[in-house]
Formats: sequence, C-alpha cells, structure tokens
Amino acid sequence: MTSESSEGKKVTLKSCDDVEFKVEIPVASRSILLKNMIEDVGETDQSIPLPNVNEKVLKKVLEWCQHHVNDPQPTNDDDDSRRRNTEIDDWDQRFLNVEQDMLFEIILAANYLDIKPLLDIGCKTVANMIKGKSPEEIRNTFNIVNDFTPEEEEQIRKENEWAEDR
Amino acid sequence: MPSALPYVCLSNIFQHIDKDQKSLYSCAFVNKHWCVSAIPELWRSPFENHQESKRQIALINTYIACLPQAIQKRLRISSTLTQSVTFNYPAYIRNIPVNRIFLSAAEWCNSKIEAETPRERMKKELSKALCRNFLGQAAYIDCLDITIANDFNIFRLYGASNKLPQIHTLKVNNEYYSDQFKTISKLCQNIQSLIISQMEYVKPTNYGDLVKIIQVQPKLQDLSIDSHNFEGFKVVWNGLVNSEYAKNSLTNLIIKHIYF
Repeated sequence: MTSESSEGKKVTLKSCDDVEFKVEIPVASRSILLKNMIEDVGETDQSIPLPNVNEKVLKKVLEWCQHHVNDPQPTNDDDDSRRRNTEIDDWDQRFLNVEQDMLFEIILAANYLDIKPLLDIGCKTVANMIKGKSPEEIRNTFNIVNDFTPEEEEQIRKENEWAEDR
Repeated sequence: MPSALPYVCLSNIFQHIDKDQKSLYSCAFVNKHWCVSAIPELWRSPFENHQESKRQIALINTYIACLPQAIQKRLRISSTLTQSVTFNYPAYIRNIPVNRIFLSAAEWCNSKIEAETPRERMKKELSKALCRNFLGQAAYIDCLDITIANDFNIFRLYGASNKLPQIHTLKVNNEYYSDQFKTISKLCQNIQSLIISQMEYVKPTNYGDLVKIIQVQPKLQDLSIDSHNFEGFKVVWNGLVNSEYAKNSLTNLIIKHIYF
C-alpha cells in the first residue's frame, strides 16, 4: 500500500506496520530527524523505516506537516518564550481533537521524529486537560494507577508542604 | 497511556502549566513517574509568590534538609524532616531572588531559632548557605534578582563564577557592593531581559558601570528602566542608543516614571 502526496522531490517513509508513504521532501523535513537523514543520505529510492510510528499515526503526523509546510523552522529558542506561548491555533485545536490514545501517540511520534512545534501543541493540549484537577481526578482522566505507598506519599507531602493548596 | 510517556514529554507538558502551582502540585502526587517529572517544574521558582510566612518556613525547612550535614552542623540548624529527602530540590532552582531568599530564611530563623541566639547573623549565614547550595547544585540558573539584596554579595559566593554567566534575566537596582556592576558586565553577557528598577538610588558615579552592563549584552531583547531620576535616565539612554548590540537585538523597551 502506498499513499502519495503531490509534486516535487519525494521521499518514501515506511511505518512500523510496513505501509509506505511518498512524501514531498519539504513536508518530511518538518521532522528534524528526517531532515537530517535526508541531508545525510541524499536522494535515494530506498524507503526510510520508522520503527516507532504506525500507519495511522504517521498519516496523522504527515497531515500536520503538510498543513504547516510553509511555517518557519523553529529556532533553538529559549525555554521562556515557549513557556509564554500558550496559544493553540484553531486548525491545530481541531487537528488534536482526537481520542486520548491517539493524542499520546502523536506526542510520542512528534518526540521521536523531532517535530518540536507539534510536540509543543500536543503537550499544551494535555496540559489544558490537567489544569485545575486533583491527583485523583488526573488519575481518572488518564487511567493511571497510583503506585505510591502511603509512607512515600506522606514523605513527598511533607517535603512539598510549602506548595500545598490550603 | 500517559503514565508511559517518557520523562521528556511529561516534562514538556508540565512546562505548560508552570504558572499553575496548584496543578503542578497535583501532578506530583499522581504516581511516581509523574512525580519525578513534576517536581523539577514545581521547584523551579519556589520563592515567587510566597508571602505567607508558613509557606516560607516550610520551604526553607526542606531546603535546610538538603544542605550538607557539615553545613547544618556548623550553623547549628536542622530541618524537621527526619528522613533523608526524596529529591535533591536545590538542583531544580532556576530563579534566584536573593532578597526573597533572605526574607524566607529570616522567617524560618524567627520561628525556629531561640531568641537569645544572634538571629540577625543567622539569617545572613543561612541565606548565604542556601544560595551557595543553589549555585553548587543547580544545573544552570536562568534568572537572578539582586534588587534590595544588601545582605551579602552573591557574586562572591563559591559557584557564582560558574553559574551566573548563564543567566538570561537580571533584575537590579542599586549597587550595594562596590564593583558589583563591573563584575556583572564582565561575568554576565548572556542577558536577554534586564530590569533596572529604582534607578534613583544608583549613585551618579556608578551610572557608567550600569551603562556598561547594557552595552556588553549581545542578546539583550527586553529592557525595562524605572527611574524617578531624569539625569540618571539620560546617561542610560545615551548609552543605549550608542550601543552597537542593542541596535540589533533590542525588541522591547519599557520606561517607567520618567518625567521629561
């Protein structure tokens, strides 16, 4: 199975479930990992295997890369400006309006492929789901098991008493 | 699934709630994996927004538990935390507001040290020991605030010459120690945001050294000057317009309380 995008020079990406995607180089180059690989290897007919990303997620990630193909490449900007920027634009919000599992798969893929702006908006979306919740509410939202012993939890509580909401 | 997110992703998520202390605190108690990622964010700027005495005392109490035993012994202080601490909390600090650290240490001394001991000296010694520990343990420091910091000169502490050149935000007002401005312009040349407050307290003989701090910053983007003193402002202004770096790097300029 092959999924094609439009014109220009292309590179073939292969998902972990063996599905190939022919993608224009500028689209693939939204990923710093792929950009560096393409620059190192040069033009090739061989597909690039992505062992950590399945077809469904890769398709979704490439949709984002296609939409943002003309965005300026992120600079090595400081932590602070990233922290200050809490906005998620409308298209990205709709793009990330997916099942929770898919949202986390996108974050993992963006991290693996080194697509910082996608990683950032994915993380901001999760951050917005966390805000204002108690530990128990967060556990319920994300189906997480509490693995603290009561003693460990009590110790962390004592050490962090200054930040406790009273 | 989110509990399986690697540290780097969880850490990124928590960076986006860094101003929401209540939520960060909640994250630290979700499970152990989340705790390890949330604690560094929670302890990034713990001296910000904590005026309440009880909180300041609790914060210093944990930091004292993180001081080396020899220092605790020498200062004759101890934390109420009896077990060894779970995290090396001083390693996570990125913002050192010297005066606030002193005030929090003072709160702790007022509540924990017996009245007959020389408390004033203790406050100074404790805040110095804490700052020295921050400079030694923190991987890097982003922000230094030395406004109203007249109890000790942080630039003289061990570790200052390693960690303070990396700061990108500096808040400064008067020069409380001679040659402090000169030290800053020599040591700190990565400043992106410089906040000069209450410039009216700067001695006219030090205007030149203050200007030098501005002129040696190739990355300075934000400059804020608060001065009731027009003469001082004029010197800084002339220094700014003649700065080769500032012409290219400066993007935000805030001027407060200047009457032309």
